[in-house]
Amino acid sequence: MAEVNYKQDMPPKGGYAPIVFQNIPVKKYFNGYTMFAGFAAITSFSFYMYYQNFKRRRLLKIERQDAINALEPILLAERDRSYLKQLRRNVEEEAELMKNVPGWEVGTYYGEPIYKTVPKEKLLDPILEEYYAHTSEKAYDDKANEFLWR
Amino acid sequence: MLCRREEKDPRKCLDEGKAVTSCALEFFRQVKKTCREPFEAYAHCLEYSSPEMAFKYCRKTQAALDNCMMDKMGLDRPELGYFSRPRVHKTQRPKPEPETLPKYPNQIPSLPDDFPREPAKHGSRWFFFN
Repeated sequence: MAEVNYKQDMPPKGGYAPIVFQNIPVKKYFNGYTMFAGFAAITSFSFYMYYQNFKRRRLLKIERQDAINALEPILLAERDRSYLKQLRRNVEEEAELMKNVPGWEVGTYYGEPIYKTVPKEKLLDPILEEYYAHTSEKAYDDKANEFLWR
Repeated sequence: MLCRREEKDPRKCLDEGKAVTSCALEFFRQVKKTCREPFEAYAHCLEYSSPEMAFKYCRKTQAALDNCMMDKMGLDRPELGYFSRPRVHKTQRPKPEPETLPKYPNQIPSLPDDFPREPAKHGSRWFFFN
């Protein structure tokens, strides 16, 4: 086996540079008072801008509510009429359907009302299935699944 | 709206509703006669500008419509918040009676022993356990 010339790894000439172990402070751009002042300035400016935007948004909201309030009577009047028409249609359909059943009264279970203490002339809103009982299936589905696509 | 809110019954306010609808239809007929183009432009803008039909994207068409309404029909746009203010309605309709609760005695007297006890009219509601 041939002789191998090992070379001892030695430090560079003049030795290694000294190890930096003392704390070198970061350069300070602001002192504490400046930072407090900056915080106060930025926050107050932001609050000012926030309030401006809040006022603008509030006016837009009022404008929108105006439009809704102005339209509500028109839409409600039409909706009430169509609702009552559908209730009338339901009653007529029920009378036609149950005319062969002896003792049946429309809107009651063989003459027994749904609620005992509610006066007879009070309008009770029917449940969804009852309201759409004599309409098309699509009308019921559209109403029942309304929240799924809205 | 006063009738609708007070009576809580759509049957009693059908005449008022008809008056509202005829008034609205009359207004829209007049608009159709005089300011059809700006009205339709404004409606189109509202419909296609944003999903919630915001007014803020349609100020130009709104101004055109307002000018037309002012010139042809003499109608000014009411100031902001006009329809959101509380308003006093004068009406001939009598005020509806507030709903009164029935009064019950504190202790209901129990039935006498010889009270006729009949079987339930429509059967037991626990019929599937019997």
